[in-house]
Amino acid sequence: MSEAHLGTPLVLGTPVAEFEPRPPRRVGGYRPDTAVDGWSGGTFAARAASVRGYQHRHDGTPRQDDFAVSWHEGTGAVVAAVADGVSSVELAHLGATLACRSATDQLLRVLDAGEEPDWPEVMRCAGWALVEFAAAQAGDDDPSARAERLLSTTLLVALVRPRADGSAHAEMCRVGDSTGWVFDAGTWTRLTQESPGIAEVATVALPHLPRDLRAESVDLPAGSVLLLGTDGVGAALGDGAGLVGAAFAEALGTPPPPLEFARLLDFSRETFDDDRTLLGVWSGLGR
Amino acid sequence: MAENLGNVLPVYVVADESGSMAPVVGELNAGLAELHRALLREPMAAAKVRFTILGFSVDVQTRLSLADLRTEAALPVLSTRSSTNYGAAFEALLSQIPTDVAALKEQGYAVYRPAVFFLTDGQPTDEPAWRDSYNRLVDRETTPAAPNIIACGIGGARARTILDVATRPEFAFVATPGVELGLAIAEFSVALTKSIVASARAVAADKTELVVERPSSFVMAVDVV
Repeated sequence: MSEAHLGTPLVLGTPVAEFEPRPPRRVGGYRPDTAVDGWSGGTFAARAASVRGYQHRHDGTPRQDDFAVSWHEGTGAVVAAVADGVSSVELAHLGATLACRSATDQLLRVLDAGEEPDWPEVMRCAGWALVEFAAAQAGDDDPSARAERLLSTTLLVALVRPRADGSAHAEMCRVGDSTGWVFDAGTWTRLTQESPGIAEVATVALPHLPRDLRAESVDLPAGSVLLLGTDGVGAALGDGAGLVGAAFAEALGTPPPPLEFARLLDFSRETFDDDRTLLGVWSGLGR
Repeated sequence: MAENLGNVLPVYVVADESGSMAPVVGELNAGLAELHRALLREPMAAAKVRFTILGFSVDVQTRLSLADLRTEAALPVLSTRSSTNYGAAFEALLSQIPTDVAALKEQGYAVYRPAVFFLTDGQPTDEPAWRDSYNRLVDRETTPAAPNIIACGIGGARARTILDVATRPEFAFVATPGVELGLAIAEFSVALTKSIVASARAVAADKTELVVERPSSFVMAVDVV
């Protein structure tokens, strides 16, 4: 048996069965198992990681989650996005990447122009990026239908702007089941509620837009962290109570080194084997 | 909700134990044993499945209840008894499924829509009375945890009846008892557990619109591959 390991995961409760990950099927280009980013800009620090779920590692499926995060120097703002490509479509991973990057690029252009974001327009542009990409793929269906068939993805986008007192203000808009949290002074606040009852698998996804699409707004005290996560994180973290919330709370009070952030996200916990993406923006640093 | 202890999929195998099953019950038991082995080869799926086996005839007998198959040495053995009372089977599920789902949620699990594998060789002896129980079981208003029912007709089962029991046409099968049936149930269960992480598209056309026109501010500046 091979001694090769990606590293020992952090175990929370009962671990997932041990196995060596299979290489992802090569569809639509190269896709690394894990993506990590981290930096500080102005009064913010950002950390982000996207890890392939244990089920996808076991099956040889590419990571279908992704993120994008950038700093806008002119305004000191952070633009951030997380996305979860819909597994049943062939290029879900590319859909997630396209949606994150086009939404954050769009927000940066809005900030460059000194304008306020038109959130439905930002989401429509992200959806249209899928349509344009789909139009270049094989198929004789309408490009929008092809985008839905090949590239469907959820998307959660945030614009975080600093205030003079070190606090910050975030606007967020989402299509689908990703979640935001604020972790402040040891307390979790989940920004979206889940419905009780039978757990649902289906989610709204781009290139579809909810008709009642709106941005949500949240104040971020200095020292707090805004976290954006895909449902692979949301299912495990919930409202922050429990083992996962405790482990995150212990590690995320201040921005950890990016690779530690990724290792935290890659925790092993039985039955939690979906792809996971988590993006944190800490406010009021370096003051 | 507090902590989510885990994601679970309740699976019910509801097997006909009527007298006419006598020639095939041995093969059906072999099929269950193979199902057990096959599921253990899929560790991620096995961790999520909670397995119940009900044998039905004139009444319903619970052979296994919400078991984690990784800790079961062997699956119980089905027997044969008397008539083919579908109503008894669906009534048992009507009382058992909501109770099981509530208990799992109470323990802190996120519970996904249960799956029922309904295995029968014959026509119901309680036609049409069983249909009332069935309709209440699969109606999501009446039974919020209404299961997906996969119907497997064995031997003399009529295709029409099997289609009536399956909750979708593609969930209706005509099966040969034995190893292949066990493998088919295992494969189906594994596929269902994978669908938990599959984040399917919601079909909600009345609440969403498809982007079909290029937005005025759109700039294609993304290079992903």
